[in-house]
Amino acid sequence: MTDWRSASRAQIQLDSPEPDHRADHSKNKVQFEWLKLKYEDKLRRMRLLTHNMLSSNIKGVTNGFPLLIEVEKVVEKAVDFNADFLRNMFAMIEWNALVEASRTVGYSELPENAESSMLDSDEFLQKFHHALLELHLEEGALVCPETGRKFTVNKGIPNMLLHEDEV
Amino acid sequence: MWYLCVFYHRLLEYRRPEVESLAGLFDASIDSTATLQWSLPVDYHSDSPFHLVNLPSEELAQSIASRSILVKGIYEIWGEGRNFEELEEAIKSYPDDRKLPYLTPGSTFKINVDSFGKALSSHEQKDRLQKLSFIPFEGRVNLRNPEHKFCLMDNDVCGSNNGLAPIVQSRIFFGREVAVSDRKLLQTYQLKSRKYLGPTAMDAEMAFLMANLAQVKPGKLVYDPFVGTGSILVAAAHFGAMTMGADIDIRVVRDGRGPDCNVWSNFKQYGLPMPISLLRADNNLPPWRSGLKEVFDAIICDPPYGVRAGGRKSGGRKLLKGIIDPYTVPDDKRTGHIPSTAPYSLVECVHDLLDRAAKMLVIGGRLVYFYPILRDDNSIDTTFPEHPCFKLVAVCEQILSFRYSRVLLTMVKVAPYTEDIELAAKMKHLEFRENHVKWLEEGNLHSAVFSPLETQVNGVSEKSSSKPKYRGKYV
Repeated sequence: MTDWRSASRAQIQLDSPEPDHRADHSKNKVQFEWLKLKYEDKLRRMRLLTHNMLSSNIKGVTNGFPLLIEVEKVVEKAVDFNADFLRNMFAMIEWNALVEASRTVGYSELPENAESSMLDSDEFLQKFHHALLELHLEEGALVCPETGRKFTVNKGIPNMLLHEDEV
Repeated sequence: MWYLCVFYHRLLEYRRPEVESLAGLFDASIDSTATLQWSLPVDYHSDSPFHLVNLPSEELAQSIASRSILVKGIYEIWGEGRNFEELEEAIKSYPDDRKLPYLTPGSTFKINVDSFGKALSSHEQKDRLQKLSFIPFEGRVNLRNPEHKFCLMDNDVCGSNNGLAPIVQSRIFFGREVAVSDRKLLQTYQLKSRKYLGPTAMDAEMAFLMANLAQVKPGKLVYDPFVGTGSILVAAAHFGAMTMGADIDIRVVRDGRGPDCNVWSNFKQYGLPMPISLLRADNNLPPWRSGLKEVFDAIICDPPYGVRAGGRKSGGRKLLKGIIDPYTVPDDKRTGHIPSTAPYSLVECVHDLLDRAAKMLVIGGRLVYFYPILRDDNSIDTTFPEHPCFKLVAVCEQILSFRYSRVLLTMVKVAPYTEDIELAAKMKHLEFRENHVKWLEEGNLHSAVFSPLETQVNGVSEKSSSKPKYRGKYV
């Protein structure tokens, strides 16, 4: 009877075409790093919907909305389309801020003005969907329009915590 | 119509509220703050798994069972009685037009025999089945895939204290199965196979119950302000909701334990859509823009009670040391500065949660959260947090230890958030800020839970020996 360890080793040899070729090792590693990056891209996300809800809440700041966006890296990722969700969200969205934000991250298809009657148009919904949910700021910062304080966005997570003297 | 609702013998106080919440979820005509009509079989204790519930339709019963975590099955009762003679009489007098459609010659059927609190041998089962021979079954038996299923159930009375609810007299029920539930999803989501866990990750069964009490459904937006490893949002995402979460600990939300072990990977593990956003934010000073309100359909969370994990809020040092002088961060150290945090008392945390939820929930939206209580004999009538915008619809206790338990509170937003309420909340917020130290002392649950037992007065020792034998809420 074959020992399970040798069995799995045989399996590995079958799977990889050149098992003894040491030179290929580094290439594999690079590919692995690339895969890891790609994988992370898929996961991490701060969407413009979030941007539309956030403001700078530093003590004394009266108009901390909308936050300016400093882009280092933006990722696009398809998300399942849900028209009902979009219709619900439309009422709470600050449209101008969304248009401005989507331009900053490089998407300029949204109309200047929008009203609820446009929600019947599938074309409009698709654009709205893309801007709201499919554009992700992965690295960068959100900047307070009044004080210039930067809230960093790292790995897609905005860090909105205030410093001790801003509370 | 009245149905027999048979529950799992678990989380007893959660069972009826879950069914009520699901009834409201599937039938929009049921007022979400109203309760269903319930009753108990004669001689039965409310902790028993057999309950009678009045539901408007069989379809609703099926929908409820398909989604419920604690319902085992829902049955149309054909007869019940203290013994088989009474059962036979009852079944015979049940109207034929309700029975005959399920007994037709061409149909297939199956009868399950079950006894709560006892395992029946196949011999015993056969014995009991034969006593049903008076029912005119004309169809064929099919155990694999029958068209109609029936169930013969009773409650074992063994007299001794076996941890089951005390009943005066057992009853036998015979009924047609309308729907049974499927708890398979609990196995899929069980914590022991989840990649990223924290010390207070919410148990899968409880997380799904919370999602049911919050009436989560596709297209709804659910928020958890203390997201941690995301265990509550995973349940909400399973039921199709869009999820959002925040936490003050950036290591948890951003880094986790590496690229393949973090909050995102927990969603990926089950093939669920990712949260719409995760952010690092403080529940005490949330970063929402001022005009933002009525956004979330449900807020579900497990706030830090300060027993296993304590809450933190921003604005550290000066509060800790009680120094009033403004603490400033030098300009050259601003980038990359890691702000310190201060302890966050439970009272303040719950105040912030209620106020924020009152603003951010849509009308009819639900706030579902845990609230810890000490189990002294003195504090039997605990008062729970109140808010003018909310109506409390369910209070479900889960006993955690001899000293304390946690109560799942389900509140429905029934009134809009007004400027007056906002002003009052702001005043309270400032009061908390000024008397920070005082509130920390008062809200300290940790010492009450972990202090040595002697501190509780000497007379208690005799009391603890005569503990009530039946402690149903423990299950």
